[in-house]
Amino acid sequence: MFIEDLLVGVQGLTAELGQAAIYLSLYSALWAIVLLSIGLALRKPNLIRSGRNGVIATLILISIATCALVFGFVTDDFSMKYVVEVSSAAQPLLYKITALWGRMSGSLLFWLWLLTVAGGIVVLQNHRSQDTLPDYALIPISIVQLFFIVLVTGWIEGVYNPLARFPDGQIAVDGQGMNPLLQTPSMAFHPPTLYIGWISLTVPFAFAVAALLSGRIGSDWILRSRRWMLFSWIVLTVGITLGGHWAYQELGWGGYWAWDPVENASFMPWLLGTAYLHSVMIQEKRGMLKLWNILLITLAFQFTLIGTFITRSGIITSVHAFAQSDIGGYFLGFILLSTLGVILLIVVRWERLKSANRLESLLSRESSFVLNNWLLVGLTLIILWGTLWPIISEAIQGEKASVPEAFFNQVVIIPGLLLLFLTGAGPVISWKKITPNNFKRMFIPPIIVGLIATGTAWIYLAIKAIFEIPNPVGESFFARIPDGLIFTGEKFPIFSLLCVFASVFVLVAICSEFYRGAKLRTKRQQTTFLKGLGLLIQRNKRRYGGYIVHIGIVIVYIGIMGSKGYFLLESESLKLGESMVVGAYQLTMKDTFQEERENFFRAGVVFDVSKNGKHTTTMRPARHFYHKAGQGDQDTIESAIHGVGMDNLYIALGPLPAKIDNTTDVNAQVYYNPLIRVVWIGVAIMVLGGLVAIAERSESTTSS
Amino acid sequence: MWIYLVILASILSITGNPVLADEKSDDTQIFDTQLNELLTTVYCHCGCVRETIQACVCVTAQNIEADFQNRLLEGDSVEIIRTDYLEKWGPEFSAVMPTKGVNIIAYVMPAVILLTLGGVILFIRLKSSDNKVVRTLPDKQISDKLQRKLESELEEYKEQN
Repeated sequence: MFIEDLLVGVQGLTAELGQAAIYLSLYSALWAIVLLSIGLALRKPNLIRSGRNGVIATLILISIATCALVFGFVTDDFSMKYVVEVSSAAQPLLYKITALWGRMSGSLLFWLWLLTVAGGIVVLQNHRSQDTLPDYALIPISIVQLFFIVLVTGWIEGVYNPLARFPDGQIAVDGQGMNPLLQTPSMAFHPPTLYIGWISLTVPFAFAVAALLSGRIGSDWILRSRRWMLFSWIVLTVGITLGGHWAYQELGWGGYWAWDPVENASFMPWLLGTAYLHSVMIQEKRGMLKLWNILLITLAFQFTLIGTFITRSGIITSVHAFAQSDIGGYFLGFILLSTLGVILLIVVRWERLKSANRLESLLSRESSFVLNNWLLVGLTLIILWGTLWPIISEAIQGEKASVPEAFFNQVVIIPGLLLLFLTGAGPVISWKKITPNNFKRMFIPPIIVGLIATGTAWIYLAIKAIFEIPNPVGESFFARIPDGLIFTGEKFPIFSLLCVFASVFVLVAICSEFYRGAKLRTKRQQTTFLKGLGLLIQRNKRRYGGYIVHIGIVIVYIGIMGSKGYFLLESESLKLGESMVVGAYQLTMKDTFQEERENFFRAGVVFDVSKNGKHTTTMRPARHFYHKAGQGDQDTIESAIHGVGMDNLYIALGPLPAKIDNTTDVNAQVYYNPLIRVVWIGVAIMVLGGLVAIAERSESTTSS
Repeated sequence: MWIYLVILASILSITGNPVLADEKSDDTQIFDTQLNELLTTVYCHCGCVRETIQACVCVTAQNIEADFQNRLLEGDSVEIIRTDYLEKWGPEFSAVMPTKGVNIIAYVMPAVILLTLGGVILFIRLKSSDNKVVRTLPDKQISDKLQRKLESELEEYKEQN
């Protein structure tokens, strides 16, 4: 009894302390903004140091608030409104902790905490440096922090303080529990990864603003924020992929990407970040695109907020509807104000933003980067257009149109393929101007190999099509050949063939680059080829890390082509002992099962899978029934996935009664997803390449 | 191209003439095609956001599928069934965006975006080349010189290897 009372007392104290920390952080963030601004304007080191301390104080205060909330979750403090909403006593510990970002208020606090960590790192990285550029960068970082602090204080309509307690000392018996869809390992890691990616984009943006504020528009701010940008890009890549993996496992529709508004919201900053990573190279090498780079990083940062606006405002229907509230307007206001601020600074610094050089030829590496930027920014705007079309169409005709996945697939395919081609062309084309020699040496071999691969793919697909064309009685087999050659049916594979050509072109172009460089190193160092390759990468990590990323991108494209273009789907209602066929596989319903778990009940079916009469594997798709702590009859799909080489056999079950037995009719949806594992492998290679690139120390970091 | 046709003919002559038995009658095939068209062109209204009836695995989707089957058997056309469904649940449950009416703007805009952006880049490129011809001349001369040097060194390197 004493211990329980003590715990209640500690819980109350912790929650109050957390709330106090949030209110105090308002002053520390304001302190940082004011002191840094005055200190930098008057060149007073003491004031600047005090401003830096304000940033650290904000980090400490928000860390206290975040720890207080986590403590509330771990100790089941049901006097806190937010804990009751997203946790329950029976919830496993991992999901009690991840409940921190399970809903609006907590996710905003988590976002804010990450932002303060980023601010703290910027201070610590430069605390001995005499350079004031990072101090200028701390001003916009603190302004963004202040915006989020205001959101979590609970003073504005639409979001309450996550540490707020029920009035009059009320305590709920148990919590409602987190949305069952979020109680999966993928969901435990997907949101924080995305948040980290988005938040770390704030730092390069802050350095861009710092460049404008200080008038140091050269490459300094780029060098100082390069690792942040790469880090953000890597983490966003992982976060987006984890989201796709979650959708694949949990939503039961056999896919990983459906152009849902929130998927788009996470993808758009990634595209802009990718464009920025390329265009800064031109500024570093040729002193060009200064204004463009500032605009690009500003856009990338603003798109992280636009993503939040889309997710939170509820203006567009999405699978993330659980996160909706009224705070979209505040985000929109902040986006507009911060954009206006950047535009004003650009106007003030207009003269210094002019390029030192110009593009000399349309056939040069600079031009290929400009083309790459054109396509990446174009794709971002196209995706934004498609995402917002329901609102635009409602404004025009009074009815909200639905934008299907097919629309996005149709409109992004051509720029997407052009981009793929540039992934190979960019790295091998020379700076300033291509020479006939460069073209002959770098382009002709990849083009020839690409054409051979495309021809082979065409033959393979043609034969497949010919065999699949129905054969009316009496018609000669050879009558089907002309149709087969132009690929009859809906899946006209011209884009697949273009994808094969571009992929092979890129792979050959980049592998040749590696081969040439490694051969030279091998000869110079008198060592083995593999060691030569290692030395090559070590010597220029940024360049060759980038090439590895490009290889990963090609592999992802191949995976998308296979899994999106050539999947098989069969849906049947089965009884015990009955079978269904998908491609070359026969699935027989062998048994049913039910199991009690920690906070849910699992019911499912055992499938015996065979190919050509031989047993291949046993699969156990299920549904989870979350019946504890006010979660009602909510159930989730737990797909069974079996890897077949690079392909997946995927089973999702239709609705089941919680008490399943051998007489139950089961609706099974079975997909055969070719090359889907290639997508995950490709992403892993991209991340590996990013890690290699980030390992290179920039000149400014080295010197400081 | 001819070489591929020869390879194709060779493969076909090896694999022989497989007679693919047409297992389903024409009527069943038409029915299946029509049902599939319906199932893939409207979204389920159960709450699984943006999932077609074919992809959704809920009870609602099963009931809708049964209803579509019955109506097709009764002789209703795909278009009538789809229109009725969308009238009942709203146009946002359409999983296709026909290229007509106001939707044409949606389809045309991506091309407009790309062309406009491309136009802006081209304009800036032309403008910058007008402004900086004089300033960049020495740079270009150096560039050509360096380029010639680089090419000659490359040739030497090739000869050495």
